[in-house]
Amino acid sequence: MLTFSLFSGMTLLLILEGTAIVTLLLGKESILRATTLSLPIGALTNVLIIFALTIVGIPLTPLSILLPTIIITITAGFFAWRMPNVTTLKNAQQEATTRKFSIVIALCSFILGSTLIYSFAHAVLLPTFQYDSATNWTMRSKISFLDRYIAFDPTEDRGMAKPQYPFLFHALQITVNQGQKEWSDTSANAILWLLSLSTFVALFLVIRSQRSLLHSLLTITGILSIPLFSLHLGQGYGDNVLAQYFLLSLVFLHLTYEEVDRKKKFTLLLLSGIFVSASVWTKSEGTFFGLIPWLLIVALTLGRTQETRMLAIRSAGVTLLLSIPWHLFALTKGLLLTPHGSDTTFAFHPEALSEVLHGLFDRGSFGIAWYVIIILGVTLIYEHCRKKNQRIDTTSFPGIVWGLLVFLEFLVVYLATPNVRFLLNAESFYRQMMIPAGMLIMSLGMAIRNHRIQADHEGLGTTTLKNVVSPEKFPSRLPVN
Amino acid sequence: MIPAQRALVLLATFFIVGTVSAETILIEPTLVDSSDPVETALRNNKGRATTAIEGAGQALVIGYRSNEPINIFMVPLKDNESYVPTDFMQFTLPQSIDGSVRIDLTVSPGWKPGRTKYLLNLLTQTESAEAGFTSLEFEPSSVGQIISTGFRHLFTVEPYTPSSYHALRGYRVFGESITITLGILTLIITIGISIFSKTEKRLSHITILLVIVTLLYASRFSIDLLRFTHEHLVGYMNGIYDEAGSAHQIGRTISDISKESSVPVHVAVCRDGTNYKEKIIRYVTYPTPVTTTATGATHAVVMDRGDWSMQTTIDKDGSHSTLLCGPIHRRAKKLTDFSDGSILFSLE
Repeated sequence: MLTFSLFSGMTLLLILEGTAIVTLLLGKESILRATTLSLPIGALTNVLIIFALTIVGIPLTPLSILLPTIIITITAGFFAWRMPNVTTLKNAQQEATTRKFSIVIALCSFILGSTLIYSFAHAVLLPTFQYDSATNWTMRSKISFLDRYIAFDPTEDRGMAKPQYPFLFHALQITVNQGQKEWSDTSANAILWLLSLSTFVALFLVIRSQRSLLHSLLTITGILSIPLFSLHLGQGYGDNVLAQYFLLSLVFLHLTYEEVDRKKKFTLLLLSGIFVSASVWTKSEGTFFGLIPWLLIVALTLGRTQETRMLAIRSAGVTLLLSIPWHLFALTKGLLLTPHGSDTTFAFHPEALSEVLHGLFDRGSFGIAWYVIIILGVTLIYEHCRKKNQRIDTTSFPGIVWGLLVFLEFLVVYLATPNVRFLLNAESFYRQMMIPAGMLIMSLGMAIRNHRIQADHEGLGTTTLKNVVSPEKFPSRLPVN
Repeated sequence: MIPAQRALVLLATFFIVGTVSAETILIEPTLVDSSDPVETALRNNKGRATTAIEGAGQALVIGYRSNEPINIFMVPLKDNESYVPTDFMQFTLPQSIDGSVRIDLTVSPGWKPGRTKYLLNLLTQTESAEAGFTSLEFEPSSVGQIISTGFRHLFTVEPYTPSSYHALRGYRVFGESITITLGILTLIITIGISIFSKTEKRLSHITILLVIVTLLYASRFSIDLLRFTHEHLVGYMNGIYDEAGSAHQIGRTISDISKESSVPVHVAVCRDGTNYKEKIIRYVTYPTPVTTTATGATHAVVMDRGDWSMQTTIDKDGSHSTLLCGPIHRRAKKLTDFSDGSILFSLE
C-alpha cells in the first residue's frame, strides 16, 4: 500500500509539473490533452534534474529530486495559471455519429484494447522478463537507485551493461521509487507503461485536432498494428520510449507546417524540438536518427525563408541547448556516443541484403506494415505529382522525409558497418526498424486530408468551436497547385 | 539439428503397407516453441539418432518396438533441406514390444499437402536402448482436412520467448508465410484498383484496401497478445513465467534469506544452457551477488542441469550431504524446490 501511495504521489507530481509546462507552451489546453502530454514532458525535466544532480555530485534522494521538481512545478504552475485563455491546438470538430464505420471502429477498439490489456499485464502485473531489461535498463536503474548515483559501470561485475546509454528511462524509474526502502520492480515498469499510454493518447488527441475521429483512430491503430511495436509496450526496453518521442516530435512537426500563425508555429516547432531532445536523453540513437535529421529538415524547410528563419533558429537553439549537455557529459566521461564501439567502421555487407528483405517483407515483426507503407507512399506521391489530388496534405511531406531518412540511416548501419552481425543474428535490426515504420505510418496517415475538414475549410463554414484559427487565414493553408 | 550419437538399433525408412493395429495410440504432438524442451530432452537422454522419411499425408502411423520410451523431435523440411525451427514437433512413443501410434503431422505450420520430407531426431534415456520401427505409413488427407488444417495453421500461436522482443517469426500456412502471401495479394489488388478505378476514387479505394489488410493482420496478432497475457498470468501464478521459469521466485527467496542473514549471502548458480534465468535472478536479488563461481558462495541454485548429484556420507559426526554440480563440491542442505525443477541449497 505504501509502495502504491509513494508511486502515485511521485507520478502525480511529474504529471502536475508536465501539465504546468505544457500549459505554458500551448496555452490553456483541455485537461485531457494537457495531462497526456505532461508525462512525456515531465520525464524530460526529470532527467535534466537528475543530470544536474549527477554532475554536481549530489546523491539521488527523495529530497534532492523532489525539491527541484516541486520548485519547477510551482513556478511553472504560477505562470501557467496567469496565461490568457487561448490555446495553440485546435479543438476537435464535432462529428455526427455514423454506423457506416462501426465495424472499423470495433476492430480498432479490439486491436487497441488487446494491446492495452497485454501491455498492462506484462508491465504492471508481471515482473521484469526481458533479457536486456535485466542488464542495460531496469537493472541499471536499480543499481543507481541503491547507489544513489547514476551507475556508469565499465564492466558487468554488478550485472549492469551499456553505461554509455543516456538515462531518461532510468531516471524516471529511479524517481518513482523514491521514498521506498526497497526497489519496486512494479513501480519501475508501471511508470514506463503510463508514459506509453499517455503518449499514444496524446498522439491521438493531437491528430484528432486536425483530422476526423476515424482518421485519428486508424492512424494510431496503424502504428500499433506493427506487431513488434505493440509487443514492446510490455516495457523493459528503451526502444519503444525512443520511438514514442520520435512520434511526438513528428506530430508537432506536422502541425508546425500546417499552422499559419507565427506565434503558434513557433510553439509547435519548439515542442517538436523538445520531444526530439528527450529522444537524445533516451538512447544513443536519439542523436543520430532524431536530433540530426530533425535539425536538417527544419533548416531546409523553415530556415530558407525569411519569414520562418528566426523561429527555426530559436527552436533549434532551444533543442540544442537541451540536448548538447548529454553529449558534452558523455565525451568528458569517456562514454561512447554510439551503442557499440565499432559502429563507425564502414564496409558494405551484401550478404545481409537478403536478411533485410526477409525481415521487412517476410516474417512477423512488422506484419503487413512495410507493404502498406510502400503502396501508400507510392500512391500518394503519384496522386500528388500526376493528379494534383487535393486530398493530399503536402505539409506532411517533411515528416515523411524524416521517416525515410531514419529508414535509410538504419539500412546503412546494418549493411555497411560491423552492426551487420546484429542483423544476421536478429538481435537489434527489427526493433530499430519499427521506429521508421511507425513514423512513416503516422506521416502517411496525416498526409491524407479528410473530405469533411477540407470542405469546412473551403466553405469557411459555421463553427461551434472556440479558439479556432481565424477564418481569413484558411485560404493560405490550402496547397496552391 | 540434434547431432547423432550412438545409433539406436534399426530405424526403418521403408514403407510397409499394413493395417493399423487396433491398439493404435493417437498422438497429437506439441510444437516446440522454445529451446527449453530441446535442452531438457538433450539433458535427460543419452541415446540419440537421426533419420529422414518422406511421404504425403496428414498423419503418420508408426509401428515400432522399444524397451524404453522414445522422444522424437520431427520437422518438415523445405525443398532445399532446410527447416524453420518453430516447425519442430515433439512427441513420445511409449515403451512397447508391438506399439502402434498415429501422429498428427498437421500440427506443424510447415506441413503441406503433397509429398514432404521429414527429419526425425530420436532420443532415448540410455545409449543401449533397443528400438526400431516396423512400419511407417502416411494417411492421406481429405479436402475438408486440408481446409481445416489451413485454419489451424493460421491460428497457431506466435512463439513468445525472451528473443521475441528482437524478432517475431510470423504466421505460416502450409509452410508459406502469411506476410508474403497477404502482401503480394495486396499489391495485386492495388494494381487492379489503379487500372480499373475511376481517378477520383483511386486514393480512397487503395486506402480502404490498406486499412482492411492492416486491421485483419493486426486483429490476428491481437489474439496472440491476449493468449500471451492469459498464459503468462496463469503460469506466473503457478510459479512458472514462460522461459524465466521460477527465476523470480528464486530471486525473492534469496532476497528474503539475505535480509535475515547475519553474514553476506553469495549465490552460486549451477546450470546448463544460457545465462538468461541467472540474469533475472541477479536482477531480483541485487545487491546480493549471483555468479557461476563457487568460491565464497553461501548458497547454490541448481537449475536446468542434467549432470549433478547429492552424495550422502556418514561419519562420526553423523550424516552429511555433499552437492556435486559443476564447480560446486560442498556440503549442502536443500532449502527449497521450485516449480520449474530448480533447487536452492545452503552451503556449509
